[in-house]
Amino acid sequence: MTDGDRNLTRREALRAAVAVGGSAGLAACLNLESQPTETGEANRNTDRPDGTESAAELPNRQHAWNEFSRTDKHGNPVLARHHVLLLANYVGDGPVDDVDRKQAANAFRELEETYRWASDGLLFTVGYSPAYFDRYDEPLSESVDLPRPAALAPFEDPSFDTPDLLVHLASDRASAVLEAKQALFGELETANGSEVTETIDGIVELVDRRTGFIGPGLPAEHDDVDGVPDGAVPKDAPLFMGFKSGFVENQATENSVTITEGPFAGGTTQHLSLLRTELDQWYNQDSREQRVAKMFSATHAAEDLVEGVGDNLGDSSLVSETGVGDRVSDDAFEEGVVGHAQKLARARDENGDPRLLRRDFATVDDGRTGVHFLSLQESIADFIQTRSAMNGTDVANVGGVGTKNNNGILQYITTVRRGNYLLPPRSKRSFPRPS
Amino acid sequence: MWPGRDPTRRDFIAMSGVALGMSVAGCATGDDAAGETETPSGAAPGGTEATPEGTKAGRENELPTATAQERPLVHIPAHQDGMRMVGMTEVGPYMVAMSYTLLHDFWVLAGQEKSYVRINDGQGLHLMATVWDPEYNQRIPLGSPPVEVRDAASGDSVAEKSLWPMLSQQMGPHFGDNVAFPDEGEYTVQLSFDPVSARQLGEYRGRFTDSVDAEFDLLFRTDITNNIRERFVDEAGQAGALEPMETNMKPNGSLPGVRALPGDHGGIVEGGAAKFVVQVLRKAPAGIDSSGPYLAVSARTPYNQYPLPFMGLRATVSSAGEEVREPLKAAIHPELGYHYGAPFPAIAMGDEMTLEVGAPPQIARHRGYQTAFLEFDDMTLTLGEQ
Repeated sequence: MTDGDRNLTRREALRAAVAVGGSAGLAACLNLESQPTETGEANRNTDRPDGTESAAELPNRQHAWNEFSRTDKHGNPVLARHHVLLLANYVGDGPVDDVDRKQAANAFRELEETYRWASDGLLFTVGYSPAYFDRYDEPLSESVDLPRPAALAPFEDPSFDTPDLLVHLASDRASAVLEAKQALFGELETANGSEVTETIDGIVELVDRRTGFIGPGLPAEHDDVDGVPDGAVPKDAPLFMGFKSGFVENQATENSVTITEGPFAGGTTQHLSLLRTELDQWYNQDSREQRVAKMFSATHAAEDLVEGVGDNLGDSSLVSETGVGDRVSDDAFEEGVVGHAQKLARARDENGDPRLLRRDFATVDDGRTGVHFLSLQESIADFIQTRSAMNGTDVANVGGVGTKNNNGILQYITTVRRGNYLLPPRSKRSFPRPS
Repeated sequence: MWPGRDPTRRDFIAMSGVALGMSVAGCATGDDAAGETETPSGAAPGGTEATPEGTKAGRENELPTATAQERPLVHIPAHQDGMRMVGMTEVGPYMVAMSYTLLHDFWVLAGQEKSYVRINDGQGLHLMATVWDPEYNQRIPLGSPPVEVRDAASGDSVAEKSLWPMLSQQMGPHFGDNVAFPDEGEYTVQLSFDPVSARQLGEYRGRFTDSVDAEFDLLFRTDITNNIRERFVDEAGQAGALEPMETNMKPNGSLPGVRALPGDHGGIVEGGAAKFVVQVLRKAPAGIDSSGPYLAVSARTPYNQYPLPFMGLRATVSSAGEEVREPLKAAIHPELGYHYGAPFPAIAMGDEMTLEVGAPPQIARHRGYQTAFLEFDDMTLTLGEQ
């Protein structure tokens, strides 16, 4: 690690400030970010990016984040480090009226004008749930597959999120996600040096606020919560389970998750689940080789394909290259263990490509480790199919594998909440009509 | 005499004069695996920590002496502890017993890879859940039941994890793990059971398909745990196994004796220190999509006849010049108990049969079983000739 202790402390403080939120959190963040750093995080007063002036500069796909994000040396898009999820309800009964629709549209547009559309500025999406579309008499366009959330495994019993809308704020700057929330809800007079004039205050009611982070070092700095042994998470791990994910070869593209027809062409669907992770056994009882076998495959473990957190894998988890996706049942029988990535390799579309674009991140909300598993896919059916592959029910009675025993990482995660949303194209971002 | 042994444990053994009727093998003191009892620093109090096998340290932990290397695959451990029953309750189709003993070391498996789970400093218990069908008294050895331990007064969570499916000489198949308890006091233990993934046959068809919860109240007091007897066993390291514990749990975990099994007896083969009892049922039980014969293989430990779940097992049967090779699926049946089976339409006494093991039983091992049931050669027999 090149970071000194002082800087680790600073990053920890920034993450904590996001979790705290509110004006206190924001003030703490801005103060921290204005201090000079060794890691190149920008100084607010000198190079905090200004907003995007022209709406025409921005893609119509709300989810087109990759070209506005960093990429790592292997070409993998790097998700912004700090995240806030805002679950909110429209305050009125029935359909949203045009005055409110216009007000929200202006507020979202003003956010774009306040921050540069980039992971070092602010990226955000606004999604709408099936419950939202129930406000209208006419049904949601058949070109969109957006069922109500449901339990997706025989061994899970999640609660269901049914807010009208979900706003996902993402930035490498803790201050931006905090400030943007407050600007959106009319809690600030200025944001990023601009006057706040348009807000959704008064037309929506916040029902839940969730926070998270992803990136090398962040999980290890937050191991003082329930669900993970202190000091166990590798110092450079981007997520609590200690391995990299989101390899570009194992992700759907922004293009392939885009809805192509109907009134929401250019949009996509979004699934958000909250997974709790319990990692005492993972780190204190499983060996490293067992962790690699359960996360990737027995082949990855036997051939020592994963170094450290898996940065050596480059742009692929190697599930296709090794062919392990075709050997799930054979491995269950012969090896007695099947890997998480190995099982997911089976959930490919007709072109052999992954169905999900993962944008998940770690959390310590409520003092417990977990994952806000956020993914984008053309249809919720794509998510259900992928989750079904991950459930491994087909190998739950094959050889050494059980419902959870040696069945990927199922033993260590519990699905607590699920919710489904439509991300309309940007032109219909504000309270879309169903067709 | 007992290298690496924790002196505080020896002290309280010396002080403990109370003999209990129930005891359980496997606490980590004084076994011939020297070094395993040393407590690593930096680990959670009362918790556990893995030592990967295959590392120098792991190998040294496992086989530190010539004696250990010569040890029979299934052997008597050096010591046994008592156990305390927390409670017993009927939930859905199950009877569930919750019990505990002293913190134990054990081994978890993923494939051939074994990880040694050592005991760390601090106070805690080895929690054990035992599950059976009260109608036919068959243990259900499958699952990874989530457990949550809470402080009864504050509601604060002390531990939340999935228990390992485990095998111990005195407790048989159970679900367990070590749990650190921060303080003496009252706790609640909430257990959840997922639907059984094994085939459910005969009267068991469709019986174990719902998720059920069970809750117990647990009093954690060190004066109770200090009185859980530990004794050293003179026959330690010799071939054999400690007897199944006598408890008020009705089935002791042993599978039915060979003569009690339904069907025609095809013989018994041995491999990896396990026994494979071969039975042929002339008509496949309900739950199997066949009206023809059904081959059932009861894979079990020697001595105590415990089932060996989570194993890849395949049979090749040659009848009248025709060879059929099929994987055998894990299943539970009121009379066969836990077994592996598949329909073989043409199977008959006199046929040649070969059993191959893929994955060794992926069940965590307590002491005395850690070197057994890992490597298997193919096993052959002529049905009915024994």
